[in-house]
Amino acid sequence: MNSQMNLEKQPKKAENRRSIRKIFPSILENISVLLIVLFLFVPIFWIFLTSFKPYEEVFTTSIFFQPTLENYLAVFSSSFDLGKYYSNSTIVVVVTLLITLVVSVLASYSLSRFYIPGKQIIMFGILATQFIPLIINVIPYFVMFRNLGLLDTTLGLIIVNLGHTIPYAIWLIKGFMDRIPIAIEEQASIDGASRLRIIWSILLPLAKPGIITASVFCFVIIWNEFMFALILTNREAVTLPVALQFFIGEEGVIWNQMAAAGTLFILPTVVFMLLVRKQFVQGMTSGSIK
Amino acid sequence: MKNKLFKYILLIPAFILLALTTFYPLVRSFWISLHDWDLKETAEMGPFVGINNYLNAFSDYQFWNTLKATLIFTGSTVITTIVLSILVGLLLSKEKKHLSFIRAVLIIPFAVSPALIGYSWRFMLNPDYGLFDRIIGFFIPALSDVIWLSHEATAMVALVSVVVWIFMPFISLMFISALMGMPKEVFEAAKVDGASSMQTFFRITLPMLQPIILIATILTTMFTLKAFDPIVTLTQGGPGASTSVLNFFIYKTGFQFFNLGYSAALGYILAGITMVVVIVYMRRLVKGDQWN
Repeated sequence: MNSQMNLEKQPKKAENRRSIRKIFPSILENISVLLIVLFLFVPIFWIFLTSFKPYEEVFTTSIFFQPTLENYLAVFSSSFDLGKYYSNSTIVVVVTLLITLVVSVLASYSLSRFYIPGKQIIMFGILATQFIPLIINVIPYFVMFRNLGLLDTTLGLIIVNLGHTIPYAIWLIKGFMDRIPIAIEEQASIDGASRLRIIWSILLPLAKPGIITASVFCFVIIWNEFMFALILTNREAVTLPVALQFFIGEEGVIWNQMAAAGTLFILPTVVFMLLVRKQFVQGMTSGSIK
Repeated sequence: MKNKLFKYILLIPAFILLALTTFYPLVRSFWISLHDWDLKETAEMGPFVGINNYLNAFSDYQFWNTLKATLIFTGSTVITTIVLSILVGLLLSKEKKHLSFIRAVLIIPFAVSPALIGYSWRFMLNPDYGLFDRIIGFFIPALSDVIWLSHEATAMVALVSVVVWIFMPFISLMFISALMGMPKEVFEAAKVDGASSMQTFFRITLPMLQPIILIATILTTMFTLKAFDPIVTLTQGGPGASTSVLNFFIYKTGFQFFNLGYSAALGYILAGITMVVVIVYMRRLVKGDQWN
């Protein structure tokens, strides 16, 4: 945060020397940029700050306090058991993502490279499933899972999430494969490589930006998925976003501990997103504009 | 011949999974929507009632209230998000060093859990110790005594601001990448011809952005109609039913009152609304293409 604000101030100084006609708009511009940055990052910063606050300081807006790690220790203790929810979330994400990527890469290859009757309709149908509010699907899932004993299991959550991630993954990956020239594969197939071999050792490396974009997108979706987990789990398979409500007790909300759990909760997606930011933003924006 | 089989084999895993996880529940849900089913009373699906559940919605005053809340919520969220995102796009798409740093971190809110942000808004709007409450009270003293989440209008404002916070960074990035990809010659030519910056914006930039504005509007509308997490964590649909949008009302009907048949029917009504909106936008999009 601090470094950002410093960056804001430097150009202002330089611009003071310019003619008066230009100063006003450029100050206005810098103030607007500053407001945007504050609006977007103060909430995150405040969660982060609160997570280090001792209990007495939570109910003040002070920025200066004796920071403590107590909250982080508390959320891992047996009374909250963050470790359990973290591992639930991790299992759901890893398994869903692996299955999603394998089936979506295969399907995207087929949809990108071959003549398939009704391809346009298939692609639209896949996307249309995501126009439909997913709450519709939860109703039969609830009934089926109750009968099958899958309520409150990570397996149940994995199944539901697959229906959510595969459509996006197919769209994103197919978009990238369409842009890879087919001539490269033809050359390899003349050289006698098998089809699966071509997908694995030629197409996959070339489609890597698309696969990374799809992975990050699906990772964020599953990691933050709230509705399915809220309805289909209650104790054993609870994932992180739903576990946050356990900090709301009869005596009020334990904000500092919720903030500590929240900070650890958003850490993986934020770090992952920053690592592959360039590819992700390019992939998403060019994909949606195309 | 081998190729012919191969291409379908590749499709099969994805199709089986989609059929089981999406298409089957959709059909099953529709079937449930044609039945009377109160899960509190029976574990088995009740009698077939045809389209009664759908007809009931239209005579249910709660449904109409919900629809009104949905309209206000969606309308204000979409308009605010699009206008702000264009503004952010214009501000951040210049070639400056500190701006490129902000562009780089702009994607972060997209990765943050909407549920957590809902809670944090609740924390920050608290009238006794909330940071936002203090800041707003400091700059606009007239609003310092407002208890944000206990009045219908201000609770809606709070909810809209959360959802705008969630969508705006991503939509802004779409505009930024469009603006930065625009040919510079056009703007130079406009400058040479003496066009003011306002004229340039309304005559050149905005028309060139039009297709992206439409796509961004479609995406924002779809996601706003499906918004769920911030409503549960911020307002719980309250105060009263003022922020109880359709998606949340379906959840309450199905999983707090366990009226599954009615809940499924409401779900299909929401799906219908979403489809109509998307098709209307899409037709404009296609028309726009023909114009160019």
